Amino acid sequence: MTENSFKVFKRIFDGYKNSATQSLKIIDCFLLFQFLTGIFQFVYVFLVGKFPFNSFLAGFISTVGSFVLTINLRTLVDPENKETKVSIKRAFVDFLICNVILHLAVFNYIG
Amino acid sequence: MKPILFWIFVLTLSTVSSSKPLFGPKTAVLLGNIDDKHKYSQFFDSFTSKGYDLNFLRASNQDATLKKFGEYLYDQAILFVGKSEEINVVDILDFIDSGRSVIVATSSGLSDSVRELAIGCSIEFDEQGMSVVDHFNFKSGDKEHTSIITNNFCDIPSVIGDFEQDKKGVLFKGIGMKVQKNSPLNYRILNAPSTSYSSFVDEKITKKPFLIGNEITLVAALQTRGDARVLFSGSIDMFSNDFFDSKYGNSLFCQEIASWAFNERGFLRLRDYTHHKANSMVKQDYYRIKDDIEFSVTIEEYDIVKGWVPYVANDVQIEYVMLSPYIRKTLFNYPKTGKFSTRFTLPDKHGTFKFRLHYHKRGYRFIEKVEEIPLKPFWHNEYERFIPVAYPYYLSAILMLVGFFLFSIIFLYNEDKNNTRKDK
Repeated sequence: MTENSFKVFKRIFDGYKNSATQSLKIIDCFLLFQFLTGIFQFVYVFLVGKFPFNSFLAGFISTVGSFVLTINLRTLVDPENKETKVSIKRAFVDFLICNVILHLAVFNYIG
Repeated sequence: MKPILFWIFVLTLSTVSSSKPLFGPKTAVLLGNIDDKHKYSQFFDSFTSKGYDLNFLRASNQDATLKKFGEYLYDQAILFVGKSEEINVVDILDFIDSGRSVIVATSSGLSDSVRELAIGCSIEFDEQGMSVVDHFNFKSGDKEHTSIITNNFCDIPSVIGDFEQDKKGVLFKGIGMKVQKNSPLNYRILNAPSTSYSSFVDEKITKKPFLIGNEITLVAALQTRGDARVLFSGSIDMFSNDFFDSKYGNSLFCQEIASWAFNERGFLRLRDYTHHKANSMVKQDYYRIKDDIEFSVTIEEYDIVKGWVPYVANDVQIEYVMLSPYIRKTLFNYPKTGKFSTRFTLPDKHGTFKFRLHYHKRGYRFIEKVEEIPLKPFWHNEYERFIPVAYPYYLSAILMLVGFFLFSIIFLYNEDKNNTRKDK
């Protein structure tokens, strides 16, 4: 049983390694980092309590918001994406502006 | 030669009368019959030797007014009124209300006015004609058993003073009284032995006496909220020379309770009442929550010979109150200067708080000092800037930002040959 599942995971992982371009891999690393930071904060507030709730919300939203924006960048940059008409430069500039707004809001709210 | 002798004489006179009564030396002594004053000469002499100026007046005389044109002529009063002598109750109650102390002694033949005066001080004397009788503790040779010997004193050191060590029996002949047991203002100084009762001497007893045993109070006092002390005794004979026999403790007992009644002991006053923030001497009229405060006060006690001396005690407390005390601390005493001080941190709640010094020790003058000081909350910029609990959140927000910068640099300058999407 476990041998089979092991083989399945290995196949998925190899397929990923072969099909993804380097840009996508970089984006995927960044996504993983954001995801883990978000999980860490959620566990922390669960243990310690909600005292500076605004700080928790600001920190959590910074991770979740960055995650969403990076996913967005990934879909626009992916070479297998045929429907989009947006160029990589345009996608990246959008990503940049939205991140600036997000972090502005986060640092104002974090107190 | 003569001038020198004269000046030596004057100097010795001034050193002899160096003790000074607190409210002043003028004392009115009201007696039923002025000729009786020789009967109590030992008692009265103890006063004159302490610097009191006794003025003997007849109790029901028109001249026995304590007040003339609205001003009091005397600072203390002693009333020896048994044998149905009437007194002016309203005048004497006014005298007491003005803060002046009175010693009242009466006997079995007390008049209604004396009874009324005592009721005005929450003390209920027995009916006229009653005596305290004890068939077990009486003076030998007394056929009626009305001269009783009692050992039942209160144990308040300030009131009985040096009598604490001596504690011989006190000889008493007179009428008893009833005083409420747990009253904060009344003192039951001398009580009758448990084998005594109160009744008419030459009548058969047909019903239960009004007062029995330890309930009977022989000497009682009231300390008013205006710092006057009123001492009531059911026996004038207790103060007489015959009863000052060395077999009994009358002499020392009467002198000690009279000196307490005339504020020679247990009269306290406050001085140098201050509070300020712990490290600055500036007195503010408001404080902020969680400030460190230092509070100090000096308490002095009056001694008739030495004047105001520092008070020594370890049970003076300061309370910090808003509807109920948030903080109650015992003040630390410096015996040499009489200073009491302490430090504490103000609570986390803002509002109008009071510093309350409430000291009602038995036998001492009441100290009640209340000062209202507002306690303000933090200013907007007095809160801590960064909250330690929230450091992980700060960290993650900063990491996101840093990651974003690094990612964008790497993403832009990444050379990727497989990226087949063409720029438009």
